[in-house]
Amino acid sequence: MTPETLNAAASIIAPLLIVLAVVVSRRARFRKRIVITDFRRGVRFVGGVCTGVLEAGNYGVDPRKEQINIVDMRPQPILMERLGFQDALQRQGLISLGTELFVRDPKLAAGALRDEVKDAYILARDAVRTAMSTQIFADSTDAAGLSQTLTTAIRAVLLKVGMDISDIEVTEFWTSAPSKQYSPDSVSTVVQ
Amino acid sequence: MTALLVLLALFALFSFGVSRLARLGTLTTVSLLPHQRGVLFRQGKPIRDVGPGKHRVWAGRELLVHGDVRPISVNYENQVVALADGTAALYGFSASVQVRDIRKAIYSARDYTQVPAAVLLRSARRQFHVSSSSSLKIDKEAITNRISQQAKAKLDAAGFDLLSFRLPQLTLGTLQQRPAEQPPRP
Repeated sequence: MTPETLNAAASIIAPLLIVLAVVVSRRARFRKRIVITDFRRGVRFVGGVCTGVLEAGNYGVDPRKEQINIVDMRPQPILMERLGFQDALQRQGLISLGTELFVRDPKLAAGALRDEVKDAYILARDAVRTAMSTQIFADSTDAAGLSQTLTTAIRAVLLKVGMDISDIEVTEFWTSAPSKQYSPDSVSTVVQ
Repeated sequence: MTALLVLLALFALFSFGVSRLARLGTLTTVSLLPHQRGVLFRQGKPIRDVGPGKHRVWAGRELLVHGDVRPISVNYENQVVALADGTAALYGFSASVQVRDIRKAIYSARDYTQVPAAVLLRSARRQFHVSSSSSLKIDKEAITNRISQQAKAKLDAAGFDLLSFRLPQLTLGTLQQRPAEQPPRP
């Protein structure tokens, strides 16, 4: 290879490398790196449009162009204690239950709920009241069947917003004859 | 002229290399106190549990998630529950729980410090609700043992140890909510 050829090659490659270095360094200056652990997901928005869900890993993000909403996929234990209801025969009752809320679809949850746990808790509580108001409870009502009914009812509501629950455990269940012993003011309703 | 261009090209290559190296992140030091434990994540995956001391972490590529392993006190009073025979009980409990396995604890909930309270409240209410007032009058220890056993199993699965559980408050026969005609259904 002659010196002239080397000169010619260098005169072409060198400016290209310089331009590349300038572009890369400018891009790198504005990018920040984020780590998404395996119990989280990142919902990526580019230009205000959701473009996908980032799995576990580390990513370079340009905050000027894109936004990453981190969604925690870990369960959140919730308790509904002494929730008052009225069944289909107008009998007053109380129910306490425990379950775990978790995100099923991070993309849907990020778009539908401002706070996944608080908002989903309210939806779940309303779903319990609605489900209980359509039931007629006999003496033979078993806790397992009731748990299954409530789990199904709550899931149907929560899946619409990308959330889900584990199987419900009914920890307390009580109904009375109408308007005899129980009134909603007679017992405290503790919501954890 | 050519020499200048070659020099610039070398500089450009160097800059490019440095920018690629930035992908590795910045080497930082994270110090964990004696009562802290952590899990080091690389590329989002857990690679090892770490104890107290200084740890070198590549920020931007690695993440050290840490937590406090000091005992968590759980204390609730004036909890009302309907018993199996239709009467009611007023109870309170206090317990102490400690993280045994920080990795399990981190994965157990969004905020693992809420797990002990949730488990204990749930177990206590469940166990009281399936008990009758007569059985509680005869043997208070039995209900304490049943609650602590159920809670212990659940806490163990979440990476916690139940250090102590006490039932200092238990009053039976609060009939404000006693059902008139039907027994409760556990």
